[in-house]
Amino acid sequence: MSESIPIYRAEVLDHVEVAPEHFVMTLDAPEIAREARPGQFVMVRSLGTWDPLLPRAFSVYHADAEGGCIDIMYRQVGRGTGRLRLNEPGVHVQLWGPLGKPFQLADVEQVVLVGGGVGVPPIVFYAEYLDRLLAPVKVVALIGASTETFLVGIDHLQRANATVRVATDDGTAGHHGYVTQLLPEYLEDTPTAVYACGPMPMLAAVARITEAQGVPAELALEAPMACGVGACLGCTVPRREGGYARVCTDGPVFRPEEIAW
Amino acid sequence: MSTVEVKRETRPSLEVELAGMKLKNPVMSASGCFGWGEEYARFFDLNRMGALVGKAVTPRPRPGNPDVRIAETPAGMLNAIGLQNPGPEGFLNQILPRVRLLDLPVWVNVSANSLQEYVDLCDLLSQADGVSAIELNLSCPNVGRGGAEFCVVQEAVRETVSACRKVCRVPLIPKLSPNTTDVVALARAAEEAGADAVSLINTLVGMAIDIDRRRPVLGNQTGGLSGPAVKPIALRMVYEVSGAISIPVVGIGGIACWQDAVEFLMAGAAAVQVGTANFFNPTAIPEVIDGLENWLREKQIGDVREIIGVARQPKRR
Repeated sequence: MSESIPIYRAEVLDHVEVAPEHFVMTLDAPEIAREARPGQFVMVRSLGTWDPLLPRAFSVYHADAEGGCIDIMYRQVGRGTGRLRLNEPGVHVQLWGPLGKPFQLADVEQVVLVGGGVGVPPIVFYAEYLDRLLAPVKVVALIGASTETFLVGIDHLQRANATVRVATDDGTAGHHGYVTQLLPEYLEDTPTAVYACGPMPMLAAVARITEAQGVPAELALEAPMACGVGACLGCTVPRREGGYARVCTDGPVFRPEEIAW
Repeated sequence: MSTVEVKRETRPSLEVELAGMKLKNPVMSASGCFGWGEEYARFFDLNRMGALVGKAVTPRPRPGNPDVRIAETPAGMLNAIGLQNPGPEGFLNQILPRVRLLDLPVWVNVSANSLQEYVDLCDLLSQADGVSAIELNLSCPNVGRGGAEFCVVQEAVRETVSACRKVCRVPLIPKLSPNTTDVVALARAAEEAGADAVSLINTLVGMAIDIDRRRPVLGNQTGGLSGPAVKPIALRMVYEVSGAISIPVVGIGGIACWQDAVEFLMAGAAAVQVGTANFFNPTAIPEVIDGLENWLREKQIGDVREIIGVARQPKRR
Protein backbone atom coordinates (compact mmCIF):
# COMPACT_ATOMS: atom_id res chain seq x y z
CA MET A 1 0.00 0.00 0.00
CA SER A 2 1.42 3.40 -0.92
CA GLU A 3 2.23 6.17 1.53
CA SER A 4 -0.37 8.20 3.33
CA ILE A 5 -1.73 11.41 1.83
CA PRO A 6 -1.68 14.49 4.08
CA ILE A 7 -5.15 15.91 4.70
CA TYR A 8 -5.63 19.18 6.55
CA ARG A 9 -7.94 21.87 7.70
CA ALA A 10 -5.46 24.34 6.21
CA GLU A 11 -5.43 28.01 7.15
CA VAL A 12 -5.64 30.53 4.32
CA LEU A 13 -2.57 32.70 4.93
CA ASP A 14 -3.01 35.06 2.03
CA HIS A 15 -5.51 35.50 -0.80
CA VAL A 16 -4.86 38.14 -3.45
CA GLU A 17 -6.06 39.14 -6.89
CA VAL A 18 -3.07 38.98 -9.25
CA ALA A 19 -4.90 39.80 -12.48
CA PRO A 20 -8.54 40.40 -13.38
CA GLU A 21 -10.50 37.32 -12.19
CA HIS A 22 -7.22 35.58 -11.20
CA PHE A 23 -6.45 34.88 -7.55
CA VAL A 24 -3.55 33.37 -5.65
CA MET A 25 -4.36 31.60 -2.39
CA THR A 26 -1.57 30.78 0.08
CA LEU A 27 -2.25 27.80 2.34
CA ASP A 28 -0.51 26.62 5.49
CA ALA A 29 0.47 23.05 4.54
CA PRO A 30 3.97 22.05 5.68
CA GLU A 31 3.99 18.43 4.48
CA ILE A 32 2.52 19.28 1.09
CA ALA A 33 5.01 22.15 0.69
CA ARG A 34 7.83 19.69 1.34
CA GLU A 35 6.55 16.85 -0.84
CA ALA A 36 4.90 18.54 -3.82
CA ARG A 37 6.64 18.24 -7.19
CA PRO A 38 5.85 20.24 -10.35
CA GLY A 39 2.83 18.86 -12.18
CA GLN A 40 1.20 17.55 -9.02
CA PHE A 41 -2.05 18.99 -7.70
CA VAL A 42 -4.06 19.38 -4.52
CA MET A 43 -7.79 19.17 -3.78
CA VAL A 44 -9.32 22.17 -2.02
CA ARG A 45 -12.81 22.37 -0.53
CA SER A 46 -14.51 25.31 1.14
CA LEU A 47 -15.82 24.29 4.55
CA GLY A 48 -19.22 24.97 6.04
CA THR A 49 -21.22 24.27 2.90
CA TRP A 50 -22.43 21.37 0.81
CA ASP A 51 -23.30 23.67 -2.04
CA PRO A 52 -21.04 23.71 -3.98
CA LEU A 53 -20.42 20.14 -2.92
CA LEU A 54 -17.24 18.97 -4.58
CA PRO A 55 -13.64 20.01 -3.98
CA ARG A 56 -11.68 21.55 -6.83
CA ALA A 57 -8.32 20.37 -8.16
CA PHE A 58 -5.52 22.93 -8.43
CA SER A 59 -1.96 22.50 -9.63
CA VAL A 60 0.62 23.64 -7.13
CA TYR A 61 1.83 27.12 -8.18
CA HIS A 62 4.59 27.58 -5.59
CA ALA A 63 5.78 25.31 -2.81
CA ASP A 64 7.77 26.93 -0.01
CA ALA A 65 9.24 24.03 1.92
CA GLU A 66 10.99 26.31 4.45
CA GLY A 67 7.93 28.47 5.04
CA GLY A 68 5.62 25.43 5.13
CA CYS A 69 3.09 26.84 2.68
CA ILE A 70 1.88 26.41 -0.88
CA ASP A 71 0.24 28.72 -3.40
CA ILE A 72 -2.52 27.83 -5.81
CA MET A 73 -3.76 30.11 -8.55
CA TYR A 74 -7.25 30.04 -9.99
CA ARG A 75 -9.51 31.99 -12.27
CA GLN A 76 -12.92 32.71 -10.78
CA VAL A 77 -15.25 31.21 -13.35
CA GLY A 78 -17.99 29.23 -11.64
CA ARG A 79 -19.68 28.31 -8.41
CA GLY A 80 -16.74 26.40 -6.94
CA THR A 81 -14.18 29.13 -7.49
CA GLY A 82 -16.79 31.76 -6.62
CA ARG A 83 -17.20 30.16 -3.19
CA LEU A 84 -13.44 29.68 -2.87
CA ARG A 85 -12.95 33.42 -3.35
CA LEU A 86 -14.89 34.04 -0.11
CA ASN A 87 -12.27 32.27 2.05
CA GLU A 88 -10.42 35.22 3.56
CA PRO A 89 -7.05 34.90 5.31
CA GLY A 90 -7.54 33.21 8.70
CA VAL A 91 -10.32 30.95 7.40
CA HIS A 92 -9.62 27.22 7.02
CA VAL A 93 -10.29 25.09 3.96
CA GLN A 94 -10.05 21.33 3.57
CA LEU A 95 -6.94 20.37 1.63
CA TRP A 96 -5.37 17.09 0.55
CA GLY A 97 -2.39 16.25 -1.59
CA PRO A 98 0.04 16.31 -3.26
CA LEU A 99 -1.69 14.09 -5.83
CA GLY A 100 -0.88 12.64 -9.24
CA LYS A 101 2.31 12.07 -11.16
CA PRO A 102 4.78 14.96 -11.49
CA PHE A 103 6.82 16.02 -14.54
CA GLN A 104 9.95 13.89 -15.07
CA LEU A 105 13.07 15.69 -16.25
CA ALA A 106 14.46 14.15 -19.43
CA ASP A 107 18.18 14.03 -20.22
CA VAL A 108 18.27 17.08 -22.49
CA GLU A 109 20.05 20.41 -22.83
CA GLN A 110 16.95 22.56 -23.20
CA VAL A 111 13.55 22.50 -21.55
CA VAL A 112 10.66 24.29 -23.22
CA LEU A 113 7.72 24.98 -20.94
CA VAL A 114 4.38 25.82 -22.56
CA GLY A 115 1.61 27.29 -20.45
CA GLY A 116 -1.79 28.52 -21.54
CA GLY A 117 -4.48 30.30 -19.54
CA VAL A 118 -4.91 28.78 -16.08
CA GLY A 119 -2.41 26.08 -17.07
CA VAL A 120 0.44 28.39 -16.10
CA PRO A 121 0.85 27.41 -12.38
CA PRO A 122 2.67 24.06 -12.84
CA ILE A 123 4.85 25.70 -15.51
CA VAL A 124 5.97 28.37 -13.05
CA PHE A 125 6.52 25.77 -10.32
CA TYR A 126 8.63 23.68 -12.71
CA ALA A 127 10.77 26.66 -13.77
CA GLU A 128 11.40 27.53 -10.11
CA TYR A 129 12.12 23.90 -9.29
CA LEU A 130 14.67 23.55 -12.10
CA ASP A 131 16.27 26.85 -11.10
CA ARG A 132 16.54 25.76 -7.46
CA LEU A 133 18.01 22.40 -8.47
CA LEU A 134 20.58 24.24 -10.61
CA ALA A 135 19.55 21.82 -13.33
CA PRO A 136 22.08 22.10 -16.19
CA VAL A 137 19.41 22.97 -18.75
CA LYS A 138 18.39 26.09 -20.61
CA VAL A 139 14.77 26.89 -19.73
CA VAL A 140 12.43 28.60 -22.17
CA ALA A 141 8.86 29.43 -21.12
CA LEU A 142 6.18 30.09 -23.74
CA ILE A 143 3.12 31.60 -22.12
CA GLY A 144 -0.21 32.20 -23.79
CA ALA A 145 -3.37 34.04 -22.76
CA SER A 146 -6.43 35.48 -24.44
CA THR A 147 -5.29 39.03 -23.66
CA GLU A 148 -2.39 40.88 -21.99
CA THR A 149 -4.11 41.44 -18.65
CA PHE A 150 -4.60 37.68 -18.26
CA LEU A 151 -0.87 36.93 -18.60
CA VAL A 152 0.16 35.66 -15.17
CA GLY A 153 3.34 34.35 -13.58
CA ILE A 154 5.71 36.10 -16.02
CA ASP A 155 7.71 37.82 -13.26
CA HIS A 156 8.16 34.52 -11.42
CA LEU A 157 9.43 32.84 -14.58
CA GLN A 158 11.93 35.63 -15.19
CA ARG A 159 13.18 35.47 -11.60
CA ALA A 160 13.63 31.70 -12.11
CA ASN A 161 16.01 32.55 -14.99
CA ALA A 162 13.71 31.30 -17.74
CA THR A 163 13.67 32.95 -21.15
CA VAL A 164 10.05 34.04 -21.49
CA ARG A 165 8.03 34.57 -24.66
CA VAL A 166 4.38 35.39 -24.67
CA ALA A 167 1.48 35.11 -27.08
CA THR A 168 -2.00 36.58 -26.89
CA ASP A 169 -5.08 35.71 -28.90
CA ASP A 170 -5.86 39.42 -29.46
CA GLY A 171 -2.28 40.58 -30.05
CA THR A 172 -2.20 42.91 -27.03
CA ALA A 173 1.17 41.42 -25.99
CA GLY A 174 3.84 39.35 -27.71
CA HIS A 175 3.00 37.07 -30.60
CA HIS A 176 -0.48 37.64 -32.04
CA GLY A 177 -1.89 34.11 -32.11
CA TYR A 178 -1.54 30.78 -30.38
CA VAL A 179 1.35 30.10 -28.03
CA THR A 180 1.95 26.78 -29.77
CA GLN A 181 2.96 28.69 -32.91
CA LEU A 182 6.10 29.74 -31.03
CA LEU A 183 7.09 26.18 -30.27
CA PRO A 184 8.57 24.75 -33.54
CA GLU A 185 11.54 27.16 -33.68
CA TYR A 186 12.83 25.77 -30.37
CA LEU A 187 12.79 22.18 -31.59
CA GLU A 188 15.38 22.54 -34.36
CA ASP A 189 18.87 21.76 -33.07
CA THR A 190 19.33 21.51 -29.31
CA PRO A 191 18.23 18.27 -27.59
CA THR A 192 14.97 19.46 -26.05
CA ALA A 193 12.07 18.22 -23.94
CA VAL A 194 8.70 19.98 -23.83
CA TYR A 195 6.43 20.28 -20.79
CA ALA A 196 2.99 21.81 -21.16
CA CYS A 197 -0.17 22.61 -19.27
CA GLY A 198 -3.25 24.38 -20.58
CA PRO A 199 -6.55 23.84 -22.38
CA MET A 200 -7.03 20.57 -24.28
CA PRO A 201 -6.76 22.14 -27.78
CA MET A 202 -3.41 23.67 -26.79
CA LEU A 203 -2.15 20.36 -25.40
CA ALA A 204 -3.35 18.54 -28.51
CA ALA A 205 -1.35 20.99 -30.64
CA VAL A 206 1.75 20.48 -28.48
CA ALA A 207 1.29 16.72 -28.79
CA ARG A 208 0.99 16.96 -32.58
CA ILE A 209 4.07 19.17 -32.96
CA THR A 210 6.34 17.21 -30.61
CA GLU A 211 5.29 13.81 -31.93
CA ALA A 212 5.93 14.94 -35.52
CA GLN A 213 9.42 16.14 -34.52
CA GLY A 214 10.19 13.16 -32.30
CA VAL A 215 10.77 15.45 -29.34
CA PRO A 216 9.97 14.05 -25.86
CA ALA A 217 7.05 15.80 -24.20
CA GLU A 218 4.91 15.64 -21.10
CA LEU A 219 1.49 17.24 -20.88
CA ALA A 220 -0.41 18.05 -17.69
CA LEU A 221 -4.16 17.65 -18.28
CA GLU A 222 -7.06 19.28 -16.53
CA ALA A 223 -10.41 17.63 -15.94
CA PRO A 224 -13.30 18.16 -13.57
CA MET A 225 -12.82 15.75 -10.66
CA ALA A 226 -14.97 14.62 -7.79
CA CYS A 227 -12.39 12.86 -5.62
CA GLY A 228 -8.91 13.48 -7.03
CA VAL A 229 -7.64 10.15 -5.74
CA GLY A 230 -8.78 7.60 -8.34
CA ALA A 231 -12.04 6.41 -6.81
CA CYS A 232 -14.84 8.18 -8.66
CA LEU A 233 -13.67 7.46 -12.24
CA GLY A 234 -15.18 10.81 -13.21
CA CYS A 235 -12.09 12.49 -14.71
CA THR A 236 -11.26 9.96 -17.41
CA VAL A 237 -9.81 10.69 -20.86
CA PRO A 238 -9.68 8.19 -23.74
CA ARG A 239 -6.38 6.35 -24.21
CA ARG A 240 -4.94 5.87 -27.69
CA GLU A 241 -4.61 2.13 -27.02
CA GLY A 242 -8.30 1.94 -25.98
CA GLY A 243 -10.09 2.31 -22.68
CA TYR A 244 -9.78 5.28 -20.38
CA ALA A 245 -7.10 6.84 -18.19
CA ARG A 246 -7.86 8.65 -14.95
CA VAL A 247 -6.43 12.18 -15.11
CA CYS A 248 -6.02 12.21 -11.30
CA THR A 249 -3.97 9.07 -10.71
CA ASP A 250 -2.79 7.84 -14.12
CA GLY A 251 -1.82 11.51 -14.77
CA PRO A 252 -2.28 14.41 -14.65
CA VAL A 253 1.02 14.30 -16.57
CA PHE A 254 0.85 12.13 -19.71
CA ARG A 255 3.08 11.55 -22.73
CA PRO A 256 1.50 12.57 -26.06
CA GLU A 257 1.22 9.00 -27.30
CA GLU A 258 -0.84 7.91 -24.30
CA ILE A 259 -3.92 10.00 -25.12
CA ALA A 260 -6.43 9.83 -28.00
CA TRP A 261 -6.44 13.60 -28.59
CA MET B 1 -10.83 7.21 54.65
CA SER B 2 -12.60 8.84 51.85
CA THR B 3 -13.07 7.14 48.56
CA VAL B 4 -12.72 8.97 45.35
CA GLU B 5 -15.51 8.03 43.06
CA VAL B 6 -14.13 7.38 39.65
CA LYS B 7 -16.62 8.14 36.95
CA ARG B 8 -16.32 5.30 34.52
CA GLU B 9 -16.68 6.18 30.89
CA THR B 10 -17.82 2.99 29.30
CA ARG B 11 -17.26 2.66 25.63
CA PRO B 12 -20.56 2.25 23.78
CA SER B 13 -20.90 -0.85 21.67
CA LEU B 14 -21.09 -0.10 17.97
CA GLU B 15 -21.32 -3.72 16.93
CA VAL B 16 -24.24 -4.82 14.80
CA GLU B 17 -25.21 -8.10 13.23
CA LEU B 18 -26.51 -8.07 9.73
CA ALA B 19 -27.65 -11.11 7.75
CA GLY B 20 -25.46 -13.32 9.92
CA MET B 21 -22.42 -11.05 9.57
CA LYS B 22 -20.87 -9.40 12.60
CA LEU B 23 -19.88 -5.82 11.82
CA LYS B 24 -17.66 -3.91 14.27
CA ASN B 25 -19.77 -0.85 13.55
CA PRO B 26 -22.69 -0.07 11.24
CA VAL B 27 -20.73 2.15 8.84
CA MET B 28 -19.51 0.91 5.47
CA SER B 29 -18.59 2.27 2.07
CA ALA B 30 -21.17 2.48 -0.70
CA SER B 31 -20.53 0.71 -3.99
CA GLY B 32 -18.90 2.85 -6.66
CA CYS B 33 -17.86 5.54 -4.22
CA PHE B 34 -14.79 4.00 -2.69
CA GLY B 35 -12.94 2.15 -5.45
CA TRP B 36 -11.78 -1.08 -3.84
CA GLY B 37 -10.51 0.83 -0.85
CA GLU B 38 -6.88 1.23 -1.88
CA GLU B 39 -7.39 4.92 -2.69
CA TYR B 40 -8.70 5.55 0.81
CA ALA B 41 -6.19 3.34 2.62
CA ARG B 42 -3.89 6.32 2.15
CA PHE B 43 -6.18 8.41 4.39
CA PHE B 44 -7.26 6.00 7.14
CA ASP B 45 -7.13 2.41 8.35
CA LEU B 46 -9.77 0.57 6.31
CA ASN B 47 -10.19 -1.98 9.10
CA ARG B 48 -12.02 0.68 11.08
CA MET B 49 -15.04 0.25 8.78
CA GLY B 50 -17.94 -2.08 9.46
CA ALA B 51 -17.62 -3.56 5.96
CA LEU B 52 -16.15 -2.69 2.59
CA VAL B 53 -18.47 -2.56 -0.41
CA GLY B 54 -16.54 -2.30 -3.65
CA LYS B 55 -17.37 -1.19 -7.14
CA ALA B 56 -19.85 -3.20 -9.20
CA VAL B 57 -18.59 -6.26 -11.06
CA THR B 58 -20.28 -7.07 -14.37
CA PRO B 59 -20.19 -10.32 -16.42
CA ARG B 60 -17.54 -8.86 -18.74
CA PRO B 61 -15.06 -6.01 -18.26
CA ARG B 62 -16.57 -2.61 -19.05
CA PRO B 63 -14.50 0.39 -20.16
CA GLY B 64 -17.13 2.82 -18.86
CA ASN B 65 -18.93 5.69 -20.58
CA PRO B 66 -17.32 8.42 -22.71
CA ASP B 67 -16.90 11.76 -20.96
CA VAL B 68 -18.42 13.90 -19.53
CA ARG B 69 -19.08 11.51 -16.65
CA ILE B 70 -19.82 13.76 -13.69
CA ALA B 71 -21.62 17.04 -13.07
CA GLU B 72 -21.99 19.00 -9.87
CA THR B 73 -25.53 19.97 -8.89
CA PRO B 74 -26.87 21.80 -5.84
CA ALA B 75 -25.65 19.81 -2.80
CA GLY B 76 -25.20 16.82 -5.06
CA MET B 77 -23.64 15.35 -8.14
CA LEU B 78 -24.75 13.46 -11.21
CA ASN B 79 -22.66 10.57 -12.43
CA ALA B 80 -22.74 8.41 -15.52
CA ILE B 81 -19.57 6.38 -15.07
CA GLY B 82 -21.08 3.35 -16.79
CA LEU B 83 -19.95 0.61 -14.39
CA GLN B 84 -16.28 0.72 -15.44
CA ASN B 85 -14.78 -2.47 -13.98
CA PRO B 86 -12.36 -5.29 -14.85
CA GLY B 87 -14.99 -8.05 -14.92
CA PRO B 88 -15.11 -11.15 -12.69
CA GLU B 89 -11.67 -12.47 -13.66
CA GLY B 90 -10.04 -9.12 -13.06
CA PHE B 91 -11.81 -8.91 -9.74
CA LEU B 92 -10.88 -12.42 -8.64
CA ASN B 93 -7.25 -12.25 -9.80
CA GLN B 94 -6.25 -8.65 -9.15
CA ILE B 95 -8.56 -7.20 -6.54
CA LEU B 96 -9.79 -9.93 -4.24
CA PRO B 97 -6.34 -11.28 -3.23
CA ARG B 98 -5.57 -7.83 -1.85
CA VAL B 99 -8.87 -6.89 -0.19
CA ARG B 100 -9.36 -10.28 1.44
CA LEU B 101 -6.35 -9.52 3.63
CA LEU B 102 -8.45 -6.86 5.36
CA ASP B 103 -9.98 -7.68 8.72
CA LEU B 104 -13.58 -6.87 7.76
CA PRO B 105 -16.43 -8.28 5.67
CA VAL B 106 -16.07 -7.57 1.95
CA TRP B 107 -19.27 -7.22 -0.05
CA VAL B 108 -19.20 -7.53 -3.81
CA ASN B 109 -21.74 -5.53 -5.78
CA VAL B 110 -22.94 -7.45 -8.83
CA SER B 111 -24.60 -5.93 -11.88
CA ALA B 112 -25.78 -7.69 -15.05
CA ASN B 113 -28.08 -7.48 -18.05
CA SER B 114 -30.06 -10.69 -17.75
CA LEU B 115 -31.33 -13.15 -15.19
CA GLN B 116 -28.85 -15.80 -16.32
CA GLU B 117 -25.92 -13.37 -16.03
CA TYR B 118 -26.96 -12.41 -12.50
CA VAL B 119 -27.18 -16.07 -11.53
CA ASP B 120 -23.82 -16.97 -13.09
CA LEU B 121 -22.06 -14.05 -11.43
CA CYS B 122 -23.55 -14.84 -8.02
CA ASP B 123 -22.57 -18.46 -8.41
CA LEU B 124 -19.00 -17.62 -9.41
CA LEU B 125 -18.28 -14.80 -6.99
CA SER B 126 -20.00 -16.22 -3.91
CA GLN B 127 -17.67 -19.23 -4.08
CA ALA B 128 -14.58 -17.08 -3.82
CA ASP B 129 -12.79 -17.14 -0.52
CA GLY B 130 -12.95 -13.65 0.95
CA VAL B 131 -16.33 -12.61 -0.45
CA SER B 132 -18.60 -12.10 2.59
CA ALA B 133 -21.79 -11.04 0.84
CA ILE B 134 -23.22 -10.23 -2.56
CA GLU B 135 -24.99 -6.93 -3.03
CA LEU B 136 -27.25 -7.39 -6.03
CA ASN B 137 -27.27 -4.16 -8.02
CA LEU B 138 -30.83 -4.13 -9.30
CA SER B 139 -30.70 -0.44 -9.82
CA CYS B 140 -27.86 1.09 -11.81
CA PRO B 141 -29.42 3.81 -13.95
CA ASN B 142 -26.44 4.30 -16.27
CA VAL B 143 -26.24 1.20 -18.40
CA GLY B 144 -28.40 1.08 -21.51
CA ARG B 145 -30.14 -2.16 -20.76
CA GLY B 146 -30.09 -4.27 -17.68
CA GLY B 147 -29.95 -2.81 -14.20
CA ALA B 148 -32.58 -0.22 -14.92
CA GLU B 149 -35.00 -2.81 -16.30
CA PHE B 150 -34.68 -4.97 -13.25
CA CYS B 151 -35.03 -2.13 -10.85
CA VAL B 152 -38.66 -1.19 -11.03
CA VAL B 153 -40.57 -4.32 -11.90
CA GLN B 154 -41.68 -6.27 -8.85
CA GLU B 155 -41.82 -9.57 -10.72
CA ALA B 156 -38.30 -9.11 -12.10
CA VAL B 157 -36.95 -8.42 -8.61
CA ARG B 158 -38.70 -11.51 -7.25
CA GLU B 159 -37.47 -13.73 -10.06
CA THR B 160 -33.87 -12.44 -9.98
CA VAL B 161 -33.48 -12.62 -6.21
CA SER B 162 -35.08 -16.04 -6.07
CA ALA B 163 -32.78 -17.48 -8.76
CA CYS B 164 -29.66 -15.89 -7.29
CA ARG B 165 -30.58 -17.05 -3.79
CA LYS B 166 -30.47 -20.66 -5.00
CA VAL B 167 -26.83 -20.42 -6.08
CA CYS B 168 -25.46 -17.77 -3.75
CA ARG B 169 -23.39 -19.22 -0.89
CA VAL B 170 -23.17 -16.00 1.10
CA PRO B 171 -25.76 -13.44 2.26
CA LEU B 172 -27.61 -11.91 -0.69
CA ILE B 173 -28.51 -8.24 -0.40
CA PRO B 174 -30.46 -6.67 -3.28
CA LYS B 175 -29.80 -2.95 -3.70
CA LEU B 176 -33.06 -1.27 -4.59
CA SER B 177 -33.78 1.59 -6.94
CA PRO B 178 -35.57 4.74 -5.85
CA ASN B 179 -36.71 5.30 -9.44
CA THR B 180 -40.05 3.66 -8.79
CA THR B 181 -43.45 4.58 -7.48
CA ASP B 182 -43.47 1.84 -4.85
CA VAL B 183 -40.15 0.94 -3.27
CA VAL B 184 -41.93 -0.96 -0.50
CA ALA B 185 -43.38 -3.38 -3.04
CA LEU B 186 -39.88 -4.03 -4.43
CA ALA B 187 -38.56 -4.63 -0.92
CA ARG B 188 -41.39 -7.04 -0.12
CA ALA B 189 -40.72 -8.93 -3.35
CA ALA B 190 -37.03 -9.18 -2.43
CA GLU B 191 -37.85 -10.45 1.05
CA GLU B 192 -40.33 -13.02 -0.21
CA ALA B 193 -37.76 -14.23 -2.75
CA GLY B 194 -35.27 -14.97 0.01
CA ALA B 195 -33.10 -11.86 0.30
CA ASP B 196 -31.07 -11.73 3.53
CA ALA B 197 -31.29 -7.94 3.70
CA VAL B 198 -31.96 -5.07 1.31
CA SER B 199 -29.92 -1.94 0.75
CA LEU B 200 -31.37 1.35 -0.48
CA ILE B 201 -31.22 3.72 -2.20
CA ASN B 202 -29.20 3.76 -5.39
CA THR B 203 -29.02 7.08 -7.27
CA LEU B 204 -32.02 8.97 -8.62
CA VAL B 205 -32.05 9.51 -12.37
CA GLY B 206 -31.39 13.16 -13.16
CA MET B 207 -29.99 15.57 -15.71
CA ALA B 208 -28.09 18.82 -16.18
CA ILE B 209 -27.89 20.93 -19.33
CA ASP B 210 -24.96 23.09 -20.41
CA ILE B 211 -26.67 26.28 -21.54
CA ASP B 212 -23.66 27.42 -23.61
CA ARG B 213 -23.39 24.16 -25.55
CA ARG B 214 -27.18 23.68 -25.47
CA ARG B 215 -26.66 20.00 -24.76
CA PRO B 216 -26.88 17.72 -21.72
CA VAL B 217 -23.72 18.05 -19.60
CA LEU B 218 -23.24 14.30 -19.31
CA GLY B 219 -22.07 12.23 -22.26
CA ASN B 220 -24.76 9.73 -21.28
CA GLN B 221 -27.37 12.57 -21.21
CA THR B 222 -28.82 11.36 -17.90
CA GLY B 223 -27.03 10.29 -14.75
CA GLY B 224 -27.53 9.21 -11.18
CA LEU B 225 -28.04 11.95 -8.60
CA SER B 226 -26.33 11.41 -5.25
CA GLY B 227 -25.05 13.42 -2.30
CA PRO B 228 -26.78 15.38 0.48
CA ALA B 229 -29.49 16.50 -1.97
CA VAL B 230 -31.03 12.99 -2.03
CA LYS B 231 -30.90 12.32 1.72
CA PRO B 232 -34.50 13.21 2.61
CA ILE B 233 -35.82 10.90 -0.11
CA ALA B 234 -33.52 8.06 0.92
CA LEU B 235 -34.44 8.50 4.57
CA ARG B 236 -38.16 8.39 3.81
CA MET B 237 -37.72 5.22 1.76
CA VAL B 238 -35.65 3.52 4.47
CA TYR B 239 -38.30 4.48 7.03
CA GLU B 240 -41.12 3.04 4.91
CA VAL B 241 -39.29 -0.12 3.90
CA SER B 242 -37.99 -0.97 7.36
CA GLY B 243 -41.55 -0.75 8.65
CA ALA B 244 -42.82 -3.13 5.99
CA ILE B 245 -40.32 -5.99 5.97
CA SER B 246 -38.61 -8.02 8.66
CA ILE B 247 -35.16 -8.47 7.08
CA PRO B 248 -32.54 -5.80 7.83
CA VAL B 249 -32.31 -2.61 5.78
CA VAL B 250 -29.00 -0.99 4.89
CA GLY B 251 -29.52 2.77 4.57
CA ILE B 252 -27.77 4.66 1.76
CA GLY B 253 -28.24 8.12 0.32
CA GLY B 254 -26.47 11.38 0.99
CA ILE B 255 -24.91 10.45 4.32
CA ALA B 256 -22.15 13.00 4.86
CA CYS B 257 -21.77 13.26 8.65
CA TRP B 258 -22.53 11.29 11.80
CA GLN B 259 -25.83 13.09 12.34
CA ASP B 260 -27.03 11.78 8.97
CA ALA B 261 -26.05 8.24 10.00
CA VAL B 262 -28.01 8.59 13.26
CA GLU B 263 -31.07 9.70 11.30
CA PHE B 264 -30.91 6.60 9.10
CA LEU B 265 -30.44 4.30 12.10
CA MET B 266 -33.40 5.93 13.84
CA ALA B 267 -35.42 5.48 10.63
CA GLY B 268 -34.81 1.76 10.91
CA ALA B 269 -31.56 1.05 9.06
CA ALA B 270 -29.50 -1.70 10.68
CA ALA B 271 -26.38 -0.24 9.07
CA VAL B 272 -25.47 2.57 6.69
CA GLN B 273 -23.26 3.14 3.68
CA VAL B 274 -21.33 6.33 2.99
CA GLY B 275 -21.01 7.09 -0.71
CA THR B 276 -20.54 10.46 -2.38
CA ALA B 277 -19.19 11.99 0.85
CA ASN B 278 -15.97 10.00 0.36
CA PHE B 279 -15.35 12.04 -2.78
CA PHE B 280 -15.62 15.44 -1.14
CA ASN B 281 -14.21 14.38 2.22
CA PRO B 282 -11.82 11.39 2.12
CA THR B 283 -12.06 10.93 5.89
CA ALA B 284 -15.89 10.98 5.94
CA ILE B 285 -16.19 7.34 7.06
CA PRO B 286 -13.92 7.51 10.13
CA GLU B 287 -15.51 10.86 11.01
CA VAL B 288 -18.98 9.27 10.92
CA ILE B 289 -17.79 6.35 13.09
CA ASP B 290 -16.10 8.63 15.63
CA GLY B 291 -19.02 11.05 15.68
CA LEU B 292 -21.50 8.23 16.23
CA GLU B 293 -19.46 6.80 19.08
CA ASN B 294 -19.02 10.18 20.77
CA TRP B 295 -22.71 10.94 20.49
CA LEU B 296 -23.69 7.58 22.00
CA ARG B 297 -21.29 8.17 24.88
CA GLU B 298 -22.62 11.67 25.43
CA LYS B 299 -26.19 10.41 25.46
CA GLN B 300 -25.15 7.47 27.68
CA ILE B 301 -26.47 4.96 25.20
CA GLY B 302 -24.52 1.75 25.73
CA ASP B 303 -25.37 0.04 22.47
CA VAL B 304 -25.99 1.48 19.04
CA ARG B 305 -28.71 -1.11 18.44
CA GLU B 306 -30.87 0.75 20.97
CA ILE B 307 -31.46 3.55 18.47
CA ILE B 308 -32.24 1.44 15.42
CA GLY B 309 -35.79 2.20 14.36
CA VAL B 310 -36.65 4.37 17.38
CA ALA B 311 -38.17 7.01 15.12
CA ARG B 312 -40.63 4.38 13.99
CA GLN B 313 -41.98 3.67 17.46
CA PRO B 314 -45.16 5.41 18.58
CA LYS B 315 -44.51 8.53 20.64
CA ARG B 316 -44.62 7.90 24.39
CA ARG B 317 -47.15 9.93 26.34
